[in-house]
Amino acid sequence: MKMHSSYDYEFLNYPKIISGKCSLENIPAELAGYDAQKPLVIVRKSLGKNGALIKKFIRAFADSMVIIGAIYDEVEDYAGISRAREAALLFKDRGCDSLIALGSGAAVDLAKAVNVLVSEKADNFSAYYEEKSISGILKPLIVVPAGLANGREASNNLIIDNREIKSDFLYPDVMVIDHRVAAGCSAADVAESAAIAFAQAFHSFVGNSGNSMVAALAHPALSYLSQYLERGMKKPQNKEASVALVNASVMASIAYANAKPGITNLLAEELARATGISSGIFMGILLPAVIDFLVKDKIKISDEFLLAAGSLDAYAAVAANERGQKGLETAKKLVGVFSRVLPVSLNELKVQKYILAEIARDAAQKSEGFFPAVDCAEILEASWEKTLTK
Amino acid sequence: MNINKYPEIHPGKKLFKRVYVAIMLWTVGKAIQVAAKVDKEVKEELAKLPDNFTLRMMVAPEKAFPLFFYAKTLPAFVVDKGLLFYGIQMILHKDKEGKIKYLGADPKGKKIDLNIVFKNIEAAWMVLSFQESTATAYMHDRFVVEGDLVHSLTFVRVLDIVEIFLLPKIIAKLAVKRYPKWAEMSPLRKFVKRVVIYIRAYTF
Amino acid sequence: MREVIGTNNRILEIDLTSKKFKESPVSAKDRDMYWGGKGLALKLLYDRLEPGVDPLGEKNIFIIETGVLTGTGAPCSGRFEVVSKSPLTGVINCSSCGGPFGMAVKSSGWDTIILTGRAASPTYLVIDSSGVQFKSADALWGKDTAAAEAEIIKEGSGAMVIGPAGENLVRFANIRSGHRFVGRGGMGAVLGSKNIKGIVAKGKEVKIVAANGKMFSKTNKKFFNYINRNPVTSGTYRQFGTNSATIACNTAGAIPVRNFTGGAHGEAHKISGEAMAEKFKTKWDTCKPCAILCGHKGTIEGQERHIPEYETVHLLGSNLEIFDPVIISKWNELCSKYGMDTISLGGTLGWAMEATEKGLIKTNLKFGSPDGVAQMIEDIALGRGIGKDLGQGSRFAAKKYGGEDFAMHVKGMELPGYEPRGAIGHGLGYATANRGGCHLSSYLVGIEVLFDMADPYNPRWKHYMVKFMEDFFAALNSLHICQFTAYAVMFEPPLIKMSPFPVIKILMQNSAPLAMNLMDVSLFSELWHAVLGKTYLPYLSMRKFLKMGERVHVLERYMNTREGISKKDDTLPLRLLTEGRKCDAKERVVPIAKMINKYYKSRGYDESGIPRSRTLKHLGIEIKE
Repeated sequence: MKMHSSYDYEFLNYPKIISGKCSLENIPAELAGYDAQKPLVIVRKSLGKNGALIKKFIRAFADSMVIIGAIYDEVEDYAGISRAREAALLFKDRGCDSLIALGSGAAVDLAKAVNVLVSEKADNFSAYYEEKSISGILKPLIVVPAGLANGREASNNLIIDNREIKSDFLYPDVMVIDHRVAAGCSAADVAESAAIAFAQAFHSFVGNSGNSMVAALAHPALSYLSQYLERGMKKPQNKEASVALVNASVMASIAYANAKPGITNLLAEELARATGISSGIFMGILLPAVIDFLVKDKIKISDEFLLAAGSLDAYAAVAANERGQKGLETAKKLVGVFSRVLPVSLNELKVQKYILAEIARDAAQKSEGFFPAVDCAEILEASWEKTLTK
Repeated sequence: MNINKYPEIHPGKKLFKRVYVAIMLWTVGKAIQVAAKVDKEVKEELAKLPDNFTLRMMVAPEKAFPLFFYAKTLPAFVVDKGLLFYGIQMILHKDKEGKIKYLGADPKGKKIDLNIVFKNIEAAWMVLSFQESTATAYMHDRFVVEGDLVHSLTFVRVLDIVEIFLLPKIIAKLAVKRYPKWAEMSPLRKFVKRVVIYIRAYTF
Repeated sequence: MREVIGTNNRILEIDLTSKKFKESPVSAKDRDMYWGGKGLALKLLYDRLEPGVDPLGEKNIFIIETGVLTGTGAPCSGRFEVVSKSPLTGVINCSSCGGPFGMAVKSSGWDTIILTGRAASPTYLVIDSSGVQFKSADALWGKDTAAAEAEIIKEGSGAMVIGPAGENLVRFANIRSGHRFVGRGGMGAVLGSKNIKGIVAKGKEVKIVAANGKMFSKTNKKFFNYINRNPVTSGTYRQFGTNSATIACNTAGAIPVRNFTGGAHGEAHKISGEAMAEKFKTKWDTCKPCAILCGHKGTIEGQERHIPEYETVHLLGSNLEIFDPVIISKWNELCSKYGMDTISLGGTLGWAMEATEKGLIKTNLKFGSPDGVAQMIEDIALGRGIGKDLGQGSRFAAKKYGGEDFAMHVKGMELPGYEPRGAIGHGLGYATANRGGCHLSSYLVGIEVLFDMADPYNPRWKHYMVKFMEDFFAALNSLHICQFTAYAVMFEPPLIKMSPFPVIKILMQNSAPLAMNLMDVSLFSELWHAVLGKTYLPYLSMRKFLKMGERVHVLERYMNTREGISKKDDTLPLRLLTEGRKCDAKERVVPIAKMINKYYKSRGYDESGIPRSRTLKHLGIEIKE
């Protein structure tokens, strides 16, 4: 196998991952490792309403020295300073010493934000929006991701009030992947999270052929996706598939945190911000167009991509010089699966056409010139009409 | 914000699993003590351990299982015998003469050379209710070993043999790494030893 | 003066890019189905506007529409409707105004003016019965609204102009006509983007005469009588203006305090209509013609100034924790000068104050302190510093700087001065209003709080009340007549008048469809039929009138769904859905989820809020893909 690797790279290999059966029960032991025994739990509202799940979660702490300071369940899709302040108040009032984010997305962002507020003794984030950086290690944060992820769960950034704060101290300390939390969202949610994970893993591969550590994480993420995506979408309750997909999502997000931002992610995040629709749906729409664009652009992609996204058989059956091309074809086929449950075009979502130019410009600006606005606009234009048949 | 909307939660206790694991640990401890006397293979394995060696198998966190709990939930005779003193533990000692002795559950005043700690009661339950074999459990990080790993492997092998003696094949197959073939351990030896171990373990 | 029987039926379509115009008639079918005003304007826009165009781009279309009643002398009929795609919300926006421009357009011999394209340089338009003249507005560009209007009004009898805010494309810039404004939705910015500083209509060229004069004058007389004997229209509104509602709303916990964190305040009485009438010795200053006389002016610090309306008082007052009527009046005047909507401005300032407090932005604004507000109003109008971002509305600002949970808008339009946690039906009205956070779409707070006819905390039947009132108000705006006249007519039928009040209340709460259909609003349809000389059938014409209202509302919704609106947008700001208030004994939020599906069902929308094709077919709306 030909690897385009070099030895000049940087990679922070942070969150510990505990995955599989009975992993929730390991949380007390992990907390004990950080000398913590009173966590504040931040739950996504829709999960918090699921009484049976919360009961199971609390049951996992039985026969341990852990007391749950409180379960704060006021966050759904938007993490803002008002909520962060409330949760921080609760944290201090109960004398908590650690944080657990149950469920993905905004709950994790909020938990990270609360962590900054309580560890750095800040009242708001105004200083961090400017030049201040997080000064040191924060309180222990354990994340228990659910099926519907936004791809920032295991990464080194948080988005609060639509603004990003980035710091290596923001990696969670432990990711606990358990089927009790991971399974049970809808097929569309599964597809959305998978689209995000795929985009992250894909761009980690494309943009970083030199960093073998990034590839090392993106590889299993892609192979989990290619193996379990169909099953996960068909049967979202399936334990094995849901755990595998959440694993893929976590691995992809760690890889992506160490890689350059990808065009799909940038565009999808701008679209999500402008329309209020979640970015995963946009990634599902944009990916085929992005892959087409990259094929047209004749980018070089590592051979390993075919091995990860396809199978060993497919890899072995293709001549070495065609593997990159074949890999992109496989990727195109894989992302086609999303169209079964997700919308296929921006037009279908009724995105107003006049905002596209602005989005292309903003995304280009965010990429710091890496992706020109013309390319962004071309991809958006290609995603406008139906590109796949349902 | 109304803070009382988010109450503090004290997670409960898993009573059945606690009692089950405690009894199992006691049985295994006693069984090893007996098997070391009656079975040659076990004796040979245990000979590899250094003399004056103390081994503990326990469930973390130690402080979650205080004495008063057992005093209330277990029959009085168990507590009176000093079998379960503190925590869910099993302590085995090999003295200078190479004799194996089960020392109950009280680590007080004992120098522990090898400590095998289940991370939580659920992990101990999985292993001791034979849902996972000891080897698989170790692979899944269900327990950590503090001390010399070589000695812990010795202990795991002994545990496997004792489990084969104690349990019917259908269950023991789940619990051990590999169930011995007839040629390796004759059924006769197995049945005789099973009876002997059970009688001696339970009659002290 | 030439006499026109019925209505002009003439559309003036002006292409600003090529400086050409053409005349066309209103088709009989459109007139019959959409009557005029808002309805007809929407239909004309529906025929012309592509979905997805930039509201501030060349392709957007700006329509001014008068009603059949405009110019007839019917009470409170001196109004016109402006319809376009809003730059604030990105959806269709209809805004009504009582300024003299409407009368001037009608009496210049036109019913409708449609502006398309974009002028190459600042221009103002002069309209007379023969067409339009394009005149350079280079000298007017940058002038405030009053000065610019004074300049162009010389060429006609009614004008509408934008101020510097409109020129700077402030997303909630309004249009001035006399001392009234086309307030909401940033119609001023649309004109500004088309490089139009103002439009003046010569007027006094034609006289509108009702086709059935006898019937018209009889109905008109009855109408005047109704208005004059109703305690609201002839009493509180006439004496104290719209702001007379302050005390009642404060008691019910339905005024916005501190960016909608509270619903009542101990000092609210200081900014009530009653207090202002006493303090400023107010006089009438109203639209023409008007029988209610709700607009007032008074002497404030030795100067004659317009008395701010209820919404202004609460958005620039209690919402910012300011309870000094003098300061509020001055800010009101500043907004008039620059041409900005006080509701959206107040909502945006409320957001800015809270965002400052929470460290999201850096300004010197603070709740309860008037310092820096006047400066900020100026910065917003002129697009300076952070004012440039705030001038794009609270939705944009919250997307950029954060604080979306306390940006008090629906579909991008800031909420007016009624707190939905004190009147949940009104909250549903905000969520479902087509143009965004709008109180005039259904105004349920009137039924829930002001007239105390339904329990403001009980979601029962609220969906029906909202639907009924939406249809009714859409129909009124298509006549086009002042919505306040509705109160004078609604309670006149003998059955309602004779029944004891508790009986009506119980009926309203438990079987709203029955109670609401007891209302006899046939008077409005009678007027329309009399003017056009059509055959009037007592009950059937009223049903036709209400069905027309429904058609107009659903058409607007359908146009919005083509712009991407669906259930996800029919909601309220998070604060109203999740946070309790200190002024309530029990934590109370708006149970929007409980009401919205029932509303969709009663409207004939599907679960995602899109009008079903059979609904559209039933209402005679042509389906476009």
